[in-house]
Amino acid sequence: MNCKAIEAKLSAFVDGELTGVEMLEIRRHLACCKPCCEEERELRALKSILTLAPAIEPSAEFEAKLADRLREAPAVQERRSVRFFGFAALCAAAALFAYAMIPAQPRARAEQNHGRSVARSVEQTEIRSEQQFARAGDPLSGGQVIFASDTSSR
Amino acid sequence: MPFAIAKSRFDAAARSREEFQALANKTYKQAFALAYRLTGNRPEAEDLVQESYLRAFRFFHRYDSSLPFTSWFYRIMSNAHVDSVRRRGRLRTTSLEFQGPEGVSAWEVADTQPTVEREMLDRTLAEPVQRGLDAMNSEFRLAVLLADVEGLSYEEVAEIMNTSVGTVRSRIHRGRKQLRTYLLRHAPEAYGQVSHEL
Repeated sequence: MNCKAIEAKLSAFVDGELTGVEMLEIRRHLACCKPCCEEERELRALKSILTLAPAIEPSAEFEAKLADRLREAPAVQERRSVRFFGFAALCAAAALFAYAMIPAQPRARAEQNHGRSVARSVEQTEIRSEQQFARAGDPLSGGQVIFASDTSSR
Repeated sequence: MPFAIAKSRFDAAARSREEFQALANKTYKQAFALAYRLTGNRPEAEDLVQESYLRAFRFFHRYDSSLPFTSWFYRIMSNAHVDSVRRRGRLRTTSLEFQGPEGVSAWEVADTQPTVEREMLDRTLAEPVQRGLDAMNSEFRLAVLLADVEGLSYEEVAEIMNTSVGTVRSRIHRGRKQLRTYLLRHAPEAYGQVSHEL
């Protein structure tokens, strides 16, 4: 590794964030390269300046202020449970109301209609697949198929 | 039955509120120190910490308690910081001119464990270092602070910043170099002296 490659890894070296092989390589380079050695010393000093910098404390009243804000804040679980039960009650009421309002005979007719519409949709699907087959849109029907790797046909 | 479910849900919510409050009490000083370094002044740091704890509380049900709370919380705080910087539509600029009521510089430094090195830093470099951090690219600043002030590994920093270890490595290296350039330009004597002593 030359000086430029070493320099790019020096911070990680100072932090012990390189592989064993890289650490050895850099240590070997530092032993014989004065500018890189000086750079490494400076990076270590910078790291120490930040590590040793005293922590700034919050004001005396900050803890109480934060506790007040947290006490006022609704938790998600609380809001969810309120919303969940509110929604469930609303759904139940709506279902009961709907059941009471629909007369018995039309309900039976509605079920009949529903059965018919399901049968119709199955039929339509079958028709569509048969039409596709007839138009040779299905790759298994013998129509021309172009594979991605087949560059001669492009 | 629904009442039993509701009761258990409310009990769980109360438990999680207590648990969160306990975690907040344990970590808010450390979080404030980081927020101060990120924002460069006390009012913005307080706002950032409060906003972050409120967000964290909202999503507390997603917190995996087998992992360190601070790592999870710092991720939220770094996002909140990015949002607040975006909202203001600027990077830190006021901190460079930040003045106390008497017109003198108002960088506050609390010395919890005085040592010879710390006293030397207090006297000579505390203010230029904070100004240098303020002048730094915000992503570099966060990466450098998480690694050097919080003592996190590159992997943890990458997790918090939602990026790769390679990117973290580059941000830390470039951030430190930016800080050095700033100190050499604005406090060359103090920096030279402290750097020589350390």
